[in-house]
Amino acid sequence: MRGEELLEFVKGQFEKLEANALDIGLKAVSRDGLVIFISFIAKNTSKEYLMKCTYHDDDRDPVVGVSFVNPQNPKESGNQFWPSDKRTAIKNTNNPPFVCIPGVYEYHFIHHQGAPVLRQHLSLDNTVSDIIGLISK
Amino acid sequence: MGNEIEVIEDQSIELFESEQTKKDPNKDKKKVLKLHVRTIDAEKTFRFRENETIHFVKITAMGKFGIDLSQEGQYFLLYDGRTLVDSKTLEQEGIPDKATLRLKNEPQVGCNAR
Repeated sequence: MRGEELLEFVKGQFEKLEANALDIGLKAVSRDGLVIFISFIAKNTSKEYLMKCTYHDDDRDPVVGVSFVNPQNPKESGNQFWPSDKRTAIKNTNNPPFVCIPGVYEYHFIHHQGAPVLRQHLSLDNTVSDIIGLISK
Repeated sequence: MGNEIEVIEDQSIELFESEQTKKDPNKDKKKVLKLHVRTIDAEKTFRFRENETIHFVKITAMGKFGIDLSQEGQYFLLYDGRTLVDSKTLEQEGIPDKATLRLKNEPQVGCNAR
């Protein structure tokens, strides 16, 4: 998905996420074009994280790219800003780190190319709550 | 006036009680919570007493959403960024009236090793 069509899609995903932010346990959400920042505090560690969700303007399905950045300075990235999870779906020691679950761009188009993109994988709300669920266990 | 309408609406929603609660002579002293349970593409509203376990809420919701109960181990409830513990009660997990819980299945994890 490209251009205006993609931007409209991202706006829709952002609005849905914003509406459900409290239920999912998000502290704040913001959008800058195709990039959405999601701030939350992991309930089990009380540590704050900033998830950077990036949509790619390409011909692929609009699956969101996920990374974690410095909550105090979103321009700063690095493994130290990534959370961990018991199932090790979050590959926080890889270079670069990535989240290895369906619904994430790096899963479908880099590490598991050819994995089918299903309808639920296009829902940012669903992908974010999947990631929060992994971290909170 | 607004409150009256809300009470009527609440009472129209089925109250689900576990076998243990049904046998409890003091069950009427337990607060009834109206809860919304949401999946990826649907939402349903339920009423439960605060002493019900998360597990009971989960399997009740799964049944109403038509999800095979044999898969219950793969599902969990998420609220306010927390994975709710099956063995705890709604009260112990601090679930307030009118809360929205997410019924989610464990995401498939792509890589087994780092």
